[in-house]
Amino acid sequence: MMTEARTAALPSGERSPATEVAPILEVRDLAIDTGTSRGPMRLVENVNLSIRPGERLALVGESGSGKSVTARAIMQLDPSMRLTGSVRFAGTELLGLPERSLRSYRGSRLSMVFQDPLRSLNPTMTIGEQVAEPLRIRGVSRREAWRRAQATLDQLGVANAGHRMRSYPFEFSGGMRQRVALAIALVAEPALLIADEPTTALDTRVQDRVLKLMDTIALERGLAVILITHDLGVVAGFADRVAVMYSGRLIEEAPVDDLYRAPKHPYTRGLLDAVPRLDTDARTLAAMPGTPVSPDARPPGCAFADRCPVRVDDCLSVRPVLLPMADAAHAVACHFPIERESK
Amino acid sequence: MNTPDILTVRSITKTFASRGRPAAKALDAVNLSVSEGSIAGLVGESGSGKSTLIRCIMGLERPDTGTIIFDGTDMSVAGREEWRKFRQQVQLVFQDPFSSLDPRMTVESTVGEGLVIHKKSMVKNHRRELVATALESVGLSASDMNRYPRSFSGGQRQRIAIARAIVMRPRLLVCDEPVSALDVSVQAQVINLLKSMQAESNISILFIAHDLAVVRHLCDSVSVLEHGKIVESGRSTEIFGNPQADYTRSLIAASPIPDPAVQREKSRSSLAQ
Amino acid sequence: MLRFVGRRALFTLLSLFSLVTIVFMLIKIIPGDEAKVAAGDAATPEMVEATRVRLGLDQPVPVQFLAYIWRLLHGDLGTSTTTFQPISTNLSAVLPFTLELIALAMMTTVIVAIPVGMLMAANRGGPVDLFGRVLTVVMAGMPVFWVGFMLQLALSSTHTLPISGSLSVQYSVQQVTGFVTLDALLTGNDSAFRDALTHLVLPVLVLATPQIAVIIRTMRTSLLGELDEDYILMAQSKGASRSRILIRHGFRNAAVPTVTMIGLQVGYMIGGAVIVESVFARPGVGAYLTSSVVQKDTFAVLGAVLFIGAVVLITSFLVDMFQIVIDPRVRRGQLEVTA
Repeated sequence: MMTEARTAALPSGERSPATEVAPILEVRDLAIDTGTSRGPMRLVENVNLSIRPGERLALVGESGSGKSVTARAIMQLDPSMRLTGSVRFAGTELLGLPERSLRSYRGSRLSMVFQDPLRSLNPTMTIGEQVAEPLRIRGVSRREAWRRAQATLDQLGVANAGHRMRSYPFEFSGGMRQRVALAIALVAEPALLIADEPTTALDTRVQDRVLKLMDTIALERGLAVILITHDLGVVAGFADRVAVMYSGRLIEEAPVDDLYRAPKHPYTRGLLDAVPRLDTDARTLAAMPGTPVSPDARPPGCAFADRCPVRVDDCLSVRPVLLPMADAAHAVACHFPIERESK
Repeated sequence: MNTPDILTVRSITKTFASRGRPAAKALDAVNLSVSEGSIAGLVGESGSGKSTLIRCIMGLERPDTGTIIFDGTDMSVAGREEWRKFRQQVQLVFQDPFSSLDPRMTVESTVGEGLVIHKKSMVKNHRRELVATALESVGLSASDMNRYPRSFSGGQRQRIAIARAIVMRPRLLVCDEPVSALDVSVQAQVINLLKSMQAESNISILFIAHDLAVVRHLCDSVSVLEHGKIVESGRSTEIFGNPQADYTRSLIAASPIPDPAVQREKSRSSLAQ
Repeated sequence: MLRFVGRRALFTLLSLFSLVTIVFMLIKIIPGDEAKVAAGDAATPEMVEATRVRLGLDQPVPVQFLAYIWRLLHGDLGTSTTTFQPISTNLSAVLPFTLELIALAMMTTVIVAIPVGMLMAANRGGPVDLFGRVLTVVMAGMPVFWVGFMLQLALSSTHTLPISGSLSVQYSVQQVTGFVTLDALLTGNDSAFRDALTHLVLPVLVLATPQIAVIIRTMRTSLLGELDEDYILMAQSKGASRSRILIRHGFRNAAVPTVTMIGLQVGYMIGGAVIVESVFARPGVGAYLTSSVVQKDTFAVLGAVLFIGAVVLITSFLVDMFQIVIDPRVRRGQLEVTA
C-alpha cells in the first residue's frame, strides 16, 4: 500500500518511460476509408503513432477529427472500414491478420473502454458474467475466471464485489458502471488499454475518481494507455504525450508540458485559448471562427487553413507534413509553426 | 444588490411520490434569484434536481410549496394574461441542438414560430425582418433562413436555438446546459455570444451547467445545487475564490484544469491531505 | 417483480371481465330465447318456463349476469341451438385439433424464423439478407386461404400429401387426450401417427407462412438494433467470436421484442385457424365457429368467441411473464413493459 501511494504520488511528467524500450504499439501511415452513398471517403490519413509500455498517450480532437475511428481501427472493430498502412503490436503486424488471430489479441493483450458506460454493458447479463467473459472465452475455468473477475473488481474499488457480481448493469451508478467496464478491459491483464472518452458521460467528481483509479492501476501494472478525449483538462492531468487530430489528420504531437506551454500549431493554440479555466478570473475567450471541415470537404492543403489566423494562400493548396521541430520530441504539421510563446 | 430581481424563486419544495419507495424530495426549500441584466449560474450534477427546478420555473411543473416571482408577479396566482406575458418574456434554450430543432422546418419558420404563436408579428414580411435581425445578432446570416437544420453544425444549430429565443425579445433567457454538447472551439463562440448579448441588450440569463469553468467565466452570480438543496450561493468571484460548502470545494477540486503543471500540483496536494 | 406480475394479472382479469360483459350484453340484445334453446326443440311452453326458472332467466338482468359468470366459472358456456348440447362439450371435443394445429404452426414459426432472422441480421445488406427481405414481404402478403387453395390445387394430382381432413378413413385412434397425434403415439399406433402428421403438414405450413415472415422481420430488426449498441463493440473488443456475440449478447436482448411479437401473433393464428380449418376441412374451434356462424347458432358463436378471447388474453399474460425470465430489468421492477 505504501509503495503504491508513493508511485501514485509521482506526477505523470516525472515518470520517465525508458526511451530505449521498444514501442508496444506502432502505427505507421494509417489511412481509414469508408464507403458512403457518394462513394469512398477517406476519414483518416497519414496517422503515425507510437506508444511504449507504461506510457500514456492522449489523442485529442473535436468531433469528426477521426480520433475514435483511429482507436477502433487499432482494434479493427469495424469491418466496414478499409485500413491501409501498418499497425504493429508487440512486434506483430495486426493489419491483414485473420479475424481469428485478431481475436486472440483483443481483450487479452490490448483492450478498450467506451464513452457511455450504460450502453457499453450488456443489460441482460450479470456484472460477473461480463467481467469474467474475456477469461472464459480463453478457456479459463468458470471458478478461476470468477475469482479473477472479483479480484479485478476489488482492485477497481467496487465495494462488496463478490456479492455485486450477481447484479445487473442497471443496478449500478454511472461511475460504478465505468469501473465495471474498466474491469472487463483489465481482467485479462492487457499491455495496452485504449480508453475512448471514458469519463465524458460522468459527473465531475465521478470523472475525477475514475481518472485517479486509471492512473493508479496503469502505474501498478505498467500499462500503456491511449486516452481519446476532447477535454484538455483531463489530458493535462493524465497524459505523458499528446497527439492532436484535426479533420482526420495528426497536426501536432508533443510531450504534455511542451504542448500546453508552447503549442506550435495555430489550431492547438486556438483550442487552448478557447477553454475557460476554473483557476483564473474571467478573461475573454478567444473563440476560433468557423467550424472544423469535414473529411470529405478537406482542401488539398491544410485542413485548418480556412480558420487559421496566420495562413497564406498557399496553405490551402500545399499540404503541411507532420515534421519534428529542432527538439525532436515535438512535431507539428504547419508551414508556419508558432515560434515561441506570443502571449 | 441594488438592481431588482427579474426572477425570484422563493423556498420551492417539490416531492415526487415514487412507487414502493419513500417519497423523494427533488427540491428542498430552494431559493434562487436572477437580478435584472445579470447572468446567474446554477451548478448541479446529475440528480441534483436542476431539471425539476427548470420545469418549475417554466411552469411545466407545480411546486408543492413556495413561489416563483417573475418581474414582480407571483406566478402561482397569475392569471391567463400574466402567463401569456411570461411565456413571451421568458425563453428556454435546450442542451441538445440536434433534437431541439424540428428537422422539417426551415430556419425561418423555426425562429419565427414564436412570433406567430404569440401573435407578435402576423405579417410575413415584417416577420422575416425580425427573424433576419435575430439571426444576424447570433452571428448567422439572413440568407440562412430558407435552409433546414440538418445543413448546420452543432454550434450553428445552438445559435439558431438562441435566435429562436431572442426573436421574442425576452427579458429572461433560461439556458439548460447550452454548451455541453458542443465542441471546445464552438463552445467558446456560444459563450462569447451570450456574454455580448448581456452587455448589449441588458437581457438576463439563468445559465444551468455542470462545467464550473464555464460558469465562473460567464456568470455574475452562482448557486450550487446538491440533492435538491442550494448549498451555496453568491457572487461568482467570491464562491470560486473562497468556497464555503464542502460540496462546492469538492466540485472545484475535481474539475480538471487544462494545465499539466497545475494538475500535478493538485494531485500532490490531494495526496498530502 | 411481484408488482409487475400483479399488475399484469389484474390487467388480464379486467380484460377478461370486459370480454365477458360484452358477450353477455350481446346475448341479451340479440333476438332469441335462451330458455327455449336450452329446453330443446320439442319442449312444451311449460317445459320452457321451467327451464327459464331453472336457468334463472326469470331473474333481473344483474342477477342473471352474476349467474352467467358463475356458470362460466363452472365451464358452462350455454347451449348450442343446433346440436342442443352444451357449447363447452362441443368446444372441448374440437379444441385439441386447433391446439395441435396452432402449437405445431408456432413451433415451426419459431424454429424457422428465429435462426433465419438472426442469419439475415448477421449478414446485413448481403445477398442472404436481401433475398430474405424480399421473400418475407411476399410471404406476409399472401392471403392464408389463397395459399391453402393453391397448395391443394398443386398437390391434388400428386397424392403426396393429404389435402383435407385430420386422419385417413382406414385409421382410427383410441381417444386418450383428444389430440390425435398424441393419442396415436400413446396407443403405439405408429402408422396412424404418421398419417395424422401428414394431414397436419399443409395446414401448418399455410398457417405458419405469414407468421414466419413477421417473426423473421421482428427478429432481424431487433437484432440489428442490438448489434448497433456499444455493448456489442465491447464484446468484440473482449475477443468474443462472431457467433458468441450473436447468440450470447445480441440474441438475448433481441429476444424481448421478438417474444412479445410471438405472443401477439397467437391471436392472429387463431384467426388464421378459422380459415385454415375450413379450407382443409379439419375439425377445430375455427371450423366450429364457422359452422355456427353459418347456422346462425348465436350462443355457440358467442361461446367460441369468449373462449378464443380468453385464450388470447391468457397467452399475452404468459408472454409477459416470460419477459421476467429474459429481462432482468423487468424482473427487478426497473422497467415497465408496455406490450
